[in-house]
Amino acid sequence: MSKAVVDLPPKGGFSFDLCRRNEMLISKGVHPPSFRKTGTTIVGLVFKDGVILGADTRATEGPIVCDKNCEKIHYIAPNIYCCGAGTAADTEAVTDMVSSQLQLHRYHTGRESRVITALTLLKSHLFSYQGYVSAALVLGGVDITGPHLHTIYPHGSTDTLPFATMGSGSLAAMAVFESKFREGLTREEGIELVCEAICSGIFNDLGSGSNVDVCVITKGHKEYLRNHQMPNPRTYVSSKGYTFPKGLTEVLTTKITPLKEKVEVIEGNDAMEE
Amino acid sequence: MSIFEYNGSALIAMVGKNCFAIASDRRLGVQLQTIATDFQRIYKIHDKLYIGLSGLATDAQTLYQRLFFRHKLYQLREERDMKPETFANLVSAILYEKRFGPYFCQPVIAGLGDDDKPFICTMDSIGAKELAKDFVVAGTASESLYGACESMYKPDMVCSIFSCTYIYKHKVLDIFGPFTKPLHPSNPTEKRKKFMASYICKPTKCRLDLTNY
Repeated sequence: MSKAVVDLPPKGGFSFDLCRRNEMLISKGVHPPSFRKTGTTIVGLVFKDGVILGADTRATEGPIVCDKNCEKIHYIAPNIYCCGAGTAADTEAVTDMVSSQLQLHRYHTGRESRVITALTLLKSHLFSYQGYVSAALVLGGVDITGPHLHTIYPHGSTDTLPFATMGSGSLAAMAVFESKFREGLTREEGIELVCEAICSGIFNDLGSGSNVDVCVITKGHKEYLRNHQMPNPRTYVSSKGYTFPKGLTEVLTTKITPLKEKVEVIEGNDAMEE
Repeated sequence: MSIFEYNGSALIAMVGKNCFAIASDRRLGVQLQTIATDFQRIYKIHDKLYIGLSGLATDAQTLYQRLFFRHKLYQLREERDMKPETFANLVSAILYEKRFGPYFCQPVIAGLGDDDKPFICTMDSIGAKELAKDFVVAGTASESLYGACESMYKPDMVCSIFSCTYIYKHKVLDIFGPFTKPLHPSNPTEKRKKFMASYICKPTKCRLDLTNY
């Protein structure tokens, strides 16, 4: 049988095998599930020595918060980071893909990656999928030509800006930036402004929440401040707690399987003899 | 009606002290009709790695078969078992490959990694990973499970399974029948026949409990 049933590792890219079946299900009135989105506030700004990126940490699945502390600032290169808003799987996959492409490029050229390279790779990938890969990104980094900050929209258009916000909380954060941003901020001022903008998104937008992540990139150095601010601690914890006495739930059968130690065979020094 | 509610499912995994626990319900339904009460949703990949698949049952079984196959290939090539973090990446990649025609499954992965450190993770149907340090839930009863876990979870529980079972006892209504509506009034005795399977895995042994609730 040449049409192999064997599932070999694919050559890469998307596979559309199940599309026809899914279309049939939709026509029968069965709706596809909602994907995990990062209704988000992501920001970036250029300061005196480099770029500061900020993001909130809430991931939502419809109206439910499924992850209270997710990471939205993704690594692209040692000198380039990218914040992602939109469908979580898309932002993760697209940034991972570009990150590996850039690593290969660095091996080929022997040089530090440029932000514009990452930008072009991302925008051409997103454009070729015509917006169906729903990833809105804020890309920032410092390379040989200086600090750069770009925004990338799901359809593939880009902007180059001194300060940028994206996501559902972008208006709340942009309000803070527009009133308080100025050229030539110091590192402390920049971090404070970014935190204020993200907090504005956290408190005023329902899709954003939990903590503030900040990433500071300067020439030759980067600092990823995970959970730099935690303005939403869990305030009420039941003092008594919940105890579950054994036997509360009737156990019908129990099967205990001891796990075997895997024995390692170390080859002796003697060569095999015939 | 959503495709996820066609068969119905509830899955939970929790981290305890040097152990993890993963539990699921065992009902298989076709919308409102219960077809089976012993349907397996949690599968063993290797001694220290389990995956639970919620959502459409046919996709769950197919996905499990593909993943088990890939793991067996890995074992042949690398002569060792896959670490849970690696396996989570594999599942994520396989699900994202079908980004525009996805499997209608939400996996919950639980395993013991390096130094027997417990690892749990869940994903949406296209592979967006969510790594958690405390608990993960999936399935049609996920909203209720989130609430129950948030309030009852304590770190470092020696037998986190009991929390799982207690939570299930509470959430009987959500596990039987249509998942967004209360129990059907005409068959209140059905729930006694519902079973739940839970695995609790420590570095030296693994225990499977079938419990009633």
